[in-house]
Amino acid sequence: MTTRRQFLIGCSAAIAAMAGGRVGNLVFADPRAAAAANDNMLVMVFLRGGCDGLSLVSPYDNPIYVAKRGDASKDGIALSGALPIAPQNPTFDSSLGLHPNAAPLKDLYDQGHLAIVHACGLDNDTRSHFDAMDYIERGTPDNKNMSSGWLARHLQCTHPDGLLPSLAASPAAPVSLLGEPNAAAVTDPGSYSLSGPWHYTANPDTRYKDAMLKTLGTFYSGGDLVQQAGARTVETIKALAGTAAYTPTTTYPEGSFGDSLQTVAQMIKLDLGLRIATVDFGGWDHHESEGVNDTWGPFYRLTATLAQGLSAFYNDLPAYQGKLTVVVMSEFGRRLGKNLSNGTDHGHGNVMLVLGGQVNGGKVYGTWPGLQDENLDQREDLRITTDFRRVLSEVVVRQLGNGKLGSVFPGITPQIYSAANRLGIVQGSDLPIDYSSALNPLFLPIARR
Amino acid sequence: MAVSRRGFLASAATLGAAIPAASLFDPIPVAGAAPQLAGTAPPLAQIALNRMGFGPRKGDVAAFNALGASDSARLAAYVEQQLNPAAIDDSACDARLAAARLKIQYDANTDPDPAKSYPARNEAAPLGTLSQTIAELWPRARGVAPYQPWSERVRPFEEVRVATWLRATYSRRQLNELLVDFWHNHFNVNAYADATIAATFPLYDRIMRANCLGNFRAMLEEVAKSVAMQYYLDNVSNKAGGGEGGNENYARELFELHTLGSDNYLKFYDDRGSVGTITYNGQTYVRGYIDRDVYEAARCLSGWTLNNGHWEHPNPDDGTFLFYNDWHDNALKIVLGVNFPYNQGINDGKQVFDLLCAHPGTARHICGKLCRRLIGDEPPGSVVEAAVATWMNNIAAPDQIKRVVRTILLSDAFATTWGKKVKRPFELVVSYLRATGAELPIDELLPNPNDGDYWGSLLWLYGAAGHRLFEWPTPTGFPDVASYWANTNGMLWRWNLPYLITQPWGGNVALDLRAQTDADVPGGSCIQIVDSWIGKLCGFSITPAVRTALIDFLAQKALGGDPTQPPRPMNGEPNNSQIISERIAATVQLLAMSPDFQVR
Repeated sequence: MTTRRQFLIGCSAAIAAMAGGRVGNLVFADPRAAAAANDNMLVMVFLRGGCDGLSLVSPYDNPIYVAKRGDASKDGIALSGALPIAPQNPTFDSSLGLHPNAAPLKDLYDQGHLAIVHACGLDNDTRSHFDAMDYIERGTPDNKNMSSGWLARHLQCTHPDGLLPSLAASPAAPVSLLGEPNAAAVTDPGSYSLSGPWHYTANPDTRYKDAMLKTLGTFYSGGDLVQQAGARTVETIKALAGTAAYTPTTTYPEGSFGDSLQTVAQMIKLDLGLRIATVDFGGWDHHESEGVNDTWGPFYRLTATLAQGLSAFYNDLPAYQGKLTVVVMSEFGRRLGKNLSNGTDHGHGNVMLVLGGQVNGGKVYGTWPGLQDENLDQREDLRITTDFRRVLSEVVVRQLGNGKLGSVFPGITPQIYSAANRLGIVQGSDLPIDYSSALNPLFLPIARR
Repeated sequence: MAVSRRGFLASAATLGAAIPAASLFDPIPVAGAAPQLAGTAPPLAQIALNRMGFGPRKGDVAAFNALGASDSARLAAYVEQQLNPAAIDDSACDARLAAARLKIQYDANTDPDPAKSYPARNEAAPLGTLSQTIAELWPRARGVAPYQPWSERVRPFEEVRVATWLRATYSRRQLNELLVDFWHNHFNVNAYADATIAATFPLYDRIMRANCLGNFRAMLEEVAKSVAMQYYLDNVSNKAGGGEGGNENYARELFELHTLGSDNYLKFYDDRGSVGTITYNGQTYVRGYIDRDVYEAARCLSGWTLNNGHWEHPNPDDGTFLFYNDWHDNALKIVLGVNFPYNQGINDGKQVFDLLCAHPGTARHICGKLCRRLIGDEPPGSVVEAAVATWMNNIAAPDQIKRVVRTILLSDAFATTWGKKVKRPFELVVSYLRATGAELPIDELLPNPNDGDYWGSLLWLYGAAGHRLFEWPTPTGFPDVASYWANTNGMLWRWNLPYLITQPWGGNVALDLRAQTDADVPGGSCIQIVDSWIGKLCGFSITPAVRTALIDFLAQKALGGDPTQPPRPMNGEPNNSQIISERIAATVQLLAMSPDFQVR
């Protein structure tokens, strides 16, 4: 693997110094970091819009659920044809099944690669997409003023030295990577190159070739956001020079979700030191005609894409599965009762999926709160019994080797995550947990509005 | 000896390199700091033309400077001129719109049912739907017999998008165009969320155009009744009754995005007594809104729908607004602490709008966004508060927004700041087109039926930059801060687009940089040529090191070229024009790639 350090030696000294300048400061600010870090990888898949977890991993024969969603045979949207799974979890008071289009996920579940956490999420009363995503991705519930994302802070703790340690497979980086100056947003590695007049870009003549890129490299050397992004772009162009179009070994679904997953798979196989990748999958806000059971239905079709995509991605990377964890989450679940447009409005608790070679799969984790009114959040929505940070923390500590949870999730307490109350979703070692933010006392949230 | 990266960085840090010591843990104003440029601030004409529009065209700076004897007089005159767009002669832009051609192409469909059959079409057609009425557009929206192919149904939206590019590039009503874009983003709908929205998009665009300098309360109600918003946020099917809730999608975004904003969202309190109050100008208001307000507002807006052929109200089926009392919840409600009596009918919704529009939280939310658009990512609080005061003092004025915009543009903060706003990809490309005098394409019907689709190529390529107009999927609208746009994907496309869109396969934008150079600085040296282009693209002293690098590139100084001479071949090539034309083109592209051209 080419390390970022080796690569940068080949760049001009000015670019190297400035592009990595902020990281460099942070690196030296905390020499203890990275002691336990390893080369495992996390892929965060965010289902934007509020995925209906009750239709994805469904209590399909729970009479309250069926009554509130409406029987599928009577124009309702309760799930029919569920694929039953064994939750290995005594708190469930009804059967549990996956959506029929999630058959590839059932295979992964049955093979022990996929774990599910139910009644899980952001335990905050917001029903706003944008607030909820912000809180989750900044890693600070109830504080939108945190200047960085939780994945950015994890990278700050571990500062992996690969060439491309973090990747957003999207036109722009999500909030979870906010503040990570080295995060690359790349939609297609094979075409990531400078376009300009032929003589000064692709000309094989060594005197003119890349002349534009060389000049451009001198433009971006400052510390502000545009300067950093420009310097990082020049680095990325150089790193990906000559990358061929990707030929996957499995069949990905058509569309941006499959494309993004392929980009991540390609970057993993390019061996550029990738540690953290993010993938966005939008379109889950189904207030109207959710179409859980209909071939035309938006939920029906998105679920097929989700399951096929995750399966294709995971099986495209057999040599990397032992180092790979994929976490799938959404900003919130949807209301237990359907609305009059045969859709569902914003709700609360939801599922998270954890897929990987080190995952203790084939089990549904968490505590099922029940669907009786008194057990619901606001008497309407699935209650949250597992804070999303408990799930992510376990991956951060036991798979990514970072015990500095106080930096990754400022404000986290042993009640939210500790070796004693972790769910046991992934293998790996427990580490001493640092609940404080050793890096910088400024993390403290500025006054809540 | 090779320098290790860490060794190098350690010494750089020791030397106190000019890198902000920001960490990921600082509050937003530090880590999200907008870019600052070294050197002197540009002339006021550049500030005004870049931030009240999409950058200067040839002659704009001189026209601005002729408006008065002092900077403040010139700015005041220009602001007044731009705030009265109807008085600006825009016939040249109108001619562009009339001359525009956008290809439409599809195969014939033959079906045993004649209503499902249609003939093939391949035409470079004018923009014919921009001023069509709902009666004319509605058949495309419905998608019922006689059937039309998808490209025909969404054609009105594609025409609006092309018109938006043309107007941004050619219109002299620049502030108007900028504000239309602002309000489209504020009341964002994804035109492709539903064919109904795409088919009627000219109507939605006209709401923004008619109200962009008008009264916010009036605009809000027009938006609420529009086909686009009704379908995008589902209020079209918001019906009460039967023990199930109505559809609260629109009501939630009405509070969170369109009016009060999430800063005034107090999260869930069932207990209204704990909401509290604030005062403004001696008036008392509730401190913010709670989920219960959203639910109750959704009830108030139940029955606000469209005449869309729904089986419960099948006639007329013409796309006009319908208040359908059978779907309306006429029971008691409480919104923002105000009791709504029984049987108010359509006035429930109107009263919700009145309450929201009168609240200072709405003023602060929207004035903050306007200042962010017109000044910088973090505008001074003083200018926001001044705008809020104008807003609140003119709640019912028909030119409320115009007055607010004037307050912002005549503030000290507007005239004295520069470089705190990253151009979004659209602003970047359009400012390049304007500065260089490039001509947007006119689609053609060519012997190969797949050729001549220049707009399609341009918009497809451009979309990769992540700023596909009117297609942002969520109701927030495109982000308006540098922390979103400054990233490796966007930067690559910012750098490549000026070149790509001028290629025959990339948009066929007409631009002859060599001819312009020869005309502007005949026989000029590399220094003169670069300075000429800096004048056209930037109009101020750019970062000195960038200027030097551009001159050295044009001269190929490293290969022995002389910057004080015209550029010449350095590789032993024949002295033909192509190698120099390409180098001039590359030099101008590099200038457009520079940090100085990325901000405004």
